[in-house]
Amino acid sequence: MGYGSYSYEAHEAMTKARKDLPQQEVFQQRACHPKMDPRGVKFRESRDSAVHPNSLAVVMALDVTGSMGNIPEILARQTLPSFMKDLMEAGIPDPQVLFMAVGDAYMDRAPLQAGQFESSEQQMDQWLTWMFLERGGGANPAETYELGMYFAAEHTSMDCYEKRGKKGYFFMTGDEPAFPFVAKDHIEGLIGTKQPRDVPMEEVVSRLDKTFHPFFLIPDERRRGRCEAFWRGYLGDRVICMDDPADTCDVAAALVALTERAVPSVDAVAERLRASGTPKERVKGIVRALEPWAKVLRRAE
Amino acid sequence: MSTSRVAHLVIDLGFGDAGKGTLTDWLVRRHGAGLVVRFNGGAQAGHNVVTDDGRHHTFSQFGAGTFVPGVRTHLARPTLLHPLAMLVEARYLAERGAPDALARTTVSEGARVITPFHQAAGRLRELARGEGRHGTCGVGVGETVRDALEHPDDTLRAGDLGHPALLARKARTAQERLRSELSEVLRAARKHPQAAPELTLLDDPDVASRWADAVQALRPRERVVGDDWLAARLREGTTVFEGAQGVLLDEWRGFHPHTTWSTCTFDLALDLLREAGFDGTVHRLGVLRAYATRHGEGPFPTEEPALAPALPEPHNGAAGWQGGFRVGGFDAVLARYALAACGGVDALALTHLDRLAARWPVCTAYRAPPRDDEDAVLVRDAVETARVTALRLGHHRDLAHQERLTRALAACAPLREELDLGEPPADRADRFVAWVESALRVPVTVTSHGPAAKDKRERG
Repeated sequence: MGYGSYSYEAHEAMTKARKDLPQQEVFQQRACHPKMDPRGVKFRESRDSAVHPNSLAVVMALDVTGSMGNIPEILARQTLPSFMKDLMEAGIPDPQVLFMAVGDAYMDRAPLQAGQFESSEQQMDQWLTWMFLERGGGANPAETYELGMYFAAEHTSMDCYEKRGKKGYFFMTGDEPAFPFVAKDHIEGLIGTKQPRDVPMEEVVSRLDKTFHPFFLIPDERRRGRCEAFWRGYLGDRVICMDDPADTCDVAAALVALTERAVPSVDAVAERLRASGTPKERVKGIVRALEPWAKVLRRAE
Repeated sequence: MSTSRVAHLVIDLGFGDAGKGTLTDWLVRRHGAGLVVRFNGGAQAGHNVVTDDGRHHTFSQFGAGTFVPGVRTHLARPTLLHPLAMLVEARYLAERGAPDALARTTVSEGARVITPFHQAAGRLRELARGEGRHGTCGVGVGETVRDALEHPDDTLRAGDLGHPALLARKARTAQERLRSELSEVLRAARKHPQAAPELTLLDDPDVASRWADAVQALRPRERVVGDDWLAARLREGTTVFEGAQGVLLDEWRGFHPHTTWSTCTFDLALDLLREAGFDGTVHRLGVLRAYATRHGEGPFPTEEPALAPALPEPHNGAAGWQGGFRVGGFDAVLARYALAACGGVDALALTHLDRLAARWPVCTAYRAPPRDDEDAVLVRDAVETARVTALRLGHHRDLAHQERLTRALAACAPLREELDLGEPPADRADRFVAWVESALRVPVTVTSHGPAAKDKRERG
């Protein structure tokens, strides 16, 4: 008698650090988690609280289709858990972060997953493990990014915007074009609201732009060719090309900080990153990704 | 489908580790049983089975008949389920050629559920005891039973598993309850180097919902059944009831406090058969090793560390929480006590007979200086009063009596005898079995000479 070896393993995953665990143990979702199912969601709310009186809503939407390779996993495992900290270190005092996962509504089982806005790292981390990394997508040349943008535009309610007139931030990672319109069938099937017609992409972007600063983040050089031109057509300078997907959170946090004028310049961003021990090569890559947007901001001054 | 309804009940008459697993596997094969019912204990069990083609598994929650294709396991109401450990075990079984073990398993909706918090609390309690440790498997069984007794309305049961929101809420309540109840223990254990991961489980507010989500992989809605399920299955043919732990560790009949929170006699199996209205044949089989063994703390009169090198123990390490594995000579005094405590058996199975040496230590009586306060628990020879011939069975559930037994046993030294089993080694088993039958006055119908089913022999 007396054998506890299975039980030693059983709860280990609950105490072990995320980065030490194999993929299938961290991301156990094999379907859309009920809490991330957008169906029937009226609003995901970002609210001020006594502890966080100046909330700023930030949506990070991950392309979790197969063409992204293991980027979503690396992001969810290593990079995103510290996104909240990155934002705060970049000078944003009260960020509230919501994770979304997007796929291909024409092919996938869970093409749209949406968490809640959270202000604690722990809560945020929970949503990451609930995310279903479907690795779907498929033969068609696009993913249904437009659905994620539609959801953010129509189904969020944010104190930063409603009380203070400050837009939130919307980041979409990805490597393909979107479809030219949000299909009304997808809206009805996945979110559950009836739309009389398909919603053209132009309309979605302009609606999203009312309450968010939208950005499209292309993870590396190799993936630019497939989608850069498409997204420039809709988002212009807010298409950001990175060297390395591992920089996603640093780049996104710096984009927020620069746009919010929480840091004066890209040089200041670089200095902070170097001071916190980021390797020189990585800092150079981040600066390169940020520079075009920083120029736009300088021109606007 | 067989029309004869037979229930084979297997229990261990020692401190566990006698070989219930390998006998269950053999009984299932020998009698074509379709179902193994676990009726006591739970995730702390460790029943070793080696198949004829050499695959080994230490069965913890799955019935030891699982290597036989199609044989089902049912965890009955009195058992304790450790859902995530069951998933881990299913993975091990899949690696050993039983990929559908989970699909063949059902759990009573009333089975108590071990949470990460109960496991952590049990371990921290043991760490806080320091030198005075009781012996534990570190699985959380004791903590879960204690908590269920004290908070019957808040107890997590298998029936809750399929409702993640409710489950997470009940688990979180348990986490908070254990944290506040054990604040002293936590303080005492905090310094211990092994405490950190356990404290993390109790401190992290997200563990409850993470756990509730993770256990959904068990597909509880398919797995959890009402108790009428068992009644119907029992009518279909032959069933093996596989006991866990051993009668000498029984919560009421063992040597308090070195016991397990489980009834290890036939009682719970007989209760289940009665509730199911079972009208077939019941066969009660007690299992004993050719020598005595004990894991961890507690009385062990015939212990002989010098025997250990000659008695290899491939599947019972000293690693983990339960402490070292101890061996000693065959103890007929304790065997007779166990037979009385479980209400008798129809037959015995004797295991590990391949280990018998030409000279074999046994004990049929102890020596203990006469003392008034022990007269209630030790039966002494009328003439030679220092000679103890038996342990007196107390009233059921009289823990004061059991505690006196524990103290009395500490003062007992075995009157060691050596049987001359002689040469050749092949004949030793027969001589030893004959001696056991006369010493215990019970027929031995199965002998085991090795770890696999092919090493079992039926007698009589």
